[in-house]
Amino acid sequence: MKRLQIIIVCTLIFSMSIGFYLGSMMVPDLPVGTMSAGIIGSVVGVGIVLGTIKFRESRKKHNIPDIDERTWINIKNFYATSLYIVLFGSMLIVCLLIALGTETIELGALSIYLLILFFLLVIGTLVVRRQ
Amino acid sequence: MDLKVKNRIKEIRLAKGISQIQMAEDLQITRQTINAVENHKYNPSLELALKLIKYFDITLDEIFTLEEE
Repeated sequence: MKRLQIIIVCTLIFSMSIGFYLGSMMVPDLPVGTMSAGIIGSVVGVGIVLGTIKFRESRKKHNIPDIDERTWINIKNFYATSLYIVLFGSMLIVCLLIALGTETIELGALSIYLLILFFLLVIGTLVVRRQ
Repeated sequence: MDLKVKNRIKEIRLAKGISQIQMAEDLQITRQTINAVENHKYNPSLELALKLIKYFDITLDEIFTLEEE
C-alpha cells in the first residue's frame, strides 16, 4: 500500500513536470508565476483535504467504515443519474442559447459552467455518501 | 407476481443482544446499511448475506425469506 502511494505521487509529479514542459514549449510567454500559483494551490488544497481525513480518522472512537457496498451503489446511481442530467441539461442550454441567437460562448463562461457542475457533483457525492 | 426479500436481522440481532454499532464494527459495514437492511429498503449482496449467516451462526433461510408483496 505504501509502495502504491509512492508510485502515485511520483507519477503525479512526473506527469505535472511533463505537462509544464510541454506547456512552456507550446506557449512561449507562459505566465510561470500564475502556473506555479495554480500548482501550489492545488497541492495545498489536496494536502488540506488529506490532512482533514487523517485528523477525522484519528479522532474516530469506533471502527465503523465510512463507506461500504451500499454507499458505492448509491454513488454509482448518483453518477449515472447526474450524467443524464448534465448531458440533457447541457443540450437544453445549447438549444436555448441557439434559440436566443447566441453564436459563440466565451471560454470563461464555459469554465464557470464546468466549475459549477464539478462543485455540484462533489456536494452531491458527499450527500449521497452520508445516506 | 411481485416478490420481495424479507429478513429477520433486527429480530435476531436484538435476541442476541447485539447493538447496531457492534454489528457494524464486526461486519465492517455502516450503520445506515444495517438500518436499510433491517427496514427492508436494501437487499444485501451475496457476500454480505453470507457474512451475516456466519456472524449470527444460522442458516440462510432462517434470516431471509421471499414473500409476495
